[in-house]
Amino acid sequence: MDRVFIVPRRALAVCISLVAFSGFASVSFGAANIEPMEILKFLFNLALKQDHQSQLSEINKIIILEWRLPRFFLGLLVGASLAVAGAGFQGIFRNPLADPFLLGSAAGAGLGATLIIVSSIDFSFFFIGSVQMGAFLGALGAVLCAAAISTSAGQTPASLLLAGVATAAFLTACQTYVMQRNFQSIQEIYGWLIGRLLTSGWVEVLTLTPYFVISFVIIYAFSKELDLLRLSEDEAKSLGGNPKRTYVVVIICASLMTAAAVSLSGLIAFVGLVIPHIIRLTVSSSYRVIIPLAALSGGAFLSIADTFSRIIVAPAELPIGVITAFIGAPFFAFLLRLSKGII
Amino acid sequence: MLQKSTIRKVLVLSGEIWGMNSFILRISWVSLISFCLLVSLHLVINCEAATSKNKPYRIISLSPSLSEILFSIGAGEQVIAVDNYSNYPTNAPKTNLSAYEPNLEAIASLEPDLVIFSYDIGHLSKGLNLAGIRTLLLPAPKDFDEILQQIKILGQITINTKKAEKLIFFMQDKMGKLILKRKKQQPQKIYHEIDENYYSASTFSFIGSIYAKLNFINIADPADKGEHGYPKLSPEHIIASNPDLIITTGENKERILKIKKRPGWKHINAIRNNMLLQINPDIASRWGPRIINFASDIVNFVELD
Repeated sequence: MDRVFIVPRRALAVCISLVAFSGFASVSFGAANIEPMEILKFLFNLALKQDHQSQLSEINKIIILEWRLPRFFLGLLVGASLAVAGAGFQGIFRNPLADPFLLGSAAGAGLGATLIIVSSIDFSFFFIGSVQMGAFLGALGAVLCAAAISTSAGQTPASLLLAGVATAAFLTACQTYVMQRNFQSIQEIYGWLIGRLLTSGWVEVLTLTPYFVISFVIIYAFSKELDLLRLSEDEAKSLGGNPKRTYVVVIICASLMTAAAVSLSGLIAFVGLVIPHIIRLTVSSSYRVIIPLAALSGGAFLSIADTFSRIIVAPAELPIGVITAFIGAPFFAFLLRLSKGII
Repeated sequence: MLQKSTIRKVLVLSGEIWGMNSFILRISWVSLISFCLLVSLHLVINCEAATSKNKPYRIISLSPSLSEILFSIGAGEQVIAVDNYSNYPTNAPKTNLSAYEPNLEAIASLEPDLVIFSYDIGHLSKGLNLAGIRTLLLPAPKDFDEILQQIKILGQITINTKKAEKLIFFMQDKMGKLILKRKKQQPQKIYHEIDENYYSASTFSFIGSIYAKLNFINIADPADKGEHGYPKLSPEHIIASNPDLIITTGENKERILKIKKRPGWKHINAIRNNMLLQINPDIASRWGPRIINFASDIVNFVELD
């Protein structure tokens, strides 16, 4: 009988401390100069419900509680969602190049957001803005499209992948057309597409949390099945797995997580592809280890990248996709050199 | 009444359908229920800044057009910072705050009591309102009358109503005189070129509305059936429409020379009569008192012919 929880303790400790470090960095840095120690004191007192005469001004307290802290948690959740979804897709398709946007969800989200921005529909849908709703529905619609196309082509992962590529290409073309016809909105659309963690107040974090929690729990429950899938389908079945059910469940959960994350943060490309590989290269190839560690380190990575993007050219901000690629790609290449063929 | 045994049967049945063992099933159900609870307990406290009737003394303007208006209605002393593109008037307190990528903390650390902008991006109004900072959003106007309305609003909010009214009256007067001048002249066909890809401004853009007021016929209108304001024209359409006046923006004289050299363009009326005008891009793209400069530059140019 295996142990239920096989994540190596040291790796877990490293990932948790990365999260804590990214939290500290995220809360301490910003265009407003606030003493980090004061921030920590304020937060600890708040958490312990003690009454402490903080030396922070009212506006600084709001900056920390309503601007920086939600942004940190959003980065954590988005990074974790993308990393876990990426790991899930890599397990399903048994393809090291799989990322969360594989089934056209990026193109769908882009098209949805573009259409809403261009039509200037503006309403609050259960506290979520219309652009986020459009992106979310677009992403899900694209995945459903790809699934529908692949169903008629025979339901295998390979056909799903190709259907996803076709869907993505078509939806991207539609989006380009809409952007061209609405030239004056191009800046706003582009700003949404390149990805940024913008949030004020806790609405976005609270919206994303249920999607992440439920999908993560389910995908983690299926991580053993994903391990079995690393063998062929037939061997997996003979070992007691159920590949068809795994495909359906994991794809649904991963797509939901991706759609929710992308609708709030735009398209951040690098995280879902590389973080699972980094875990695979440094810790273990088992999905029972990769899924939880990818969640923690994906979240930490995105938060740190976001903090960088705020510091480097302050008070302007670099788009976060640029930072994730800049940091992630060389680091990944370095690891690859050391890997000696594990992937 | 839902009995425990019924619930158990439902759980086990659904478990059997999916073949999951009950541990995972329990976790999934718990997550689903907590999600529903979260959604129903979910309340957003929208903190609208109190609309005080006080005079704002620490205004930040993130719009070059609105900065120009503020300084023309005597609110200049109340402005503590303007964005990096607000270069007029030259004594405006320009900072490197960006209007297109606003950084909430940078804005808040200047401790403004009012932030004015034309472009609500990046949670600007929501974030600032959460921090208790008053905001005012005045997006790009559709026509000349909306410009005057915005001047009035800014006058009211900065408590400079008399000077704002003076400016409005002055602008209406000048515009009226220009319209009269143009009425005596022929309606002319105009082509406003935004960039080298033949993007133009139709009557449904704010620049186009000024042209329409000044009795010009805009050749971009037939290409803008959707009334979006900025259609991309094809060179054949431009040549076929044969505009009498071509207007472009920029400081570089090269631009005009390039236009003249375009193949087939030398037959266009505007090029044959050398009716090409290049306007300072700031004046052509901003809505404020200098729109009158823009209009009179064009009218005077046409009159010289």
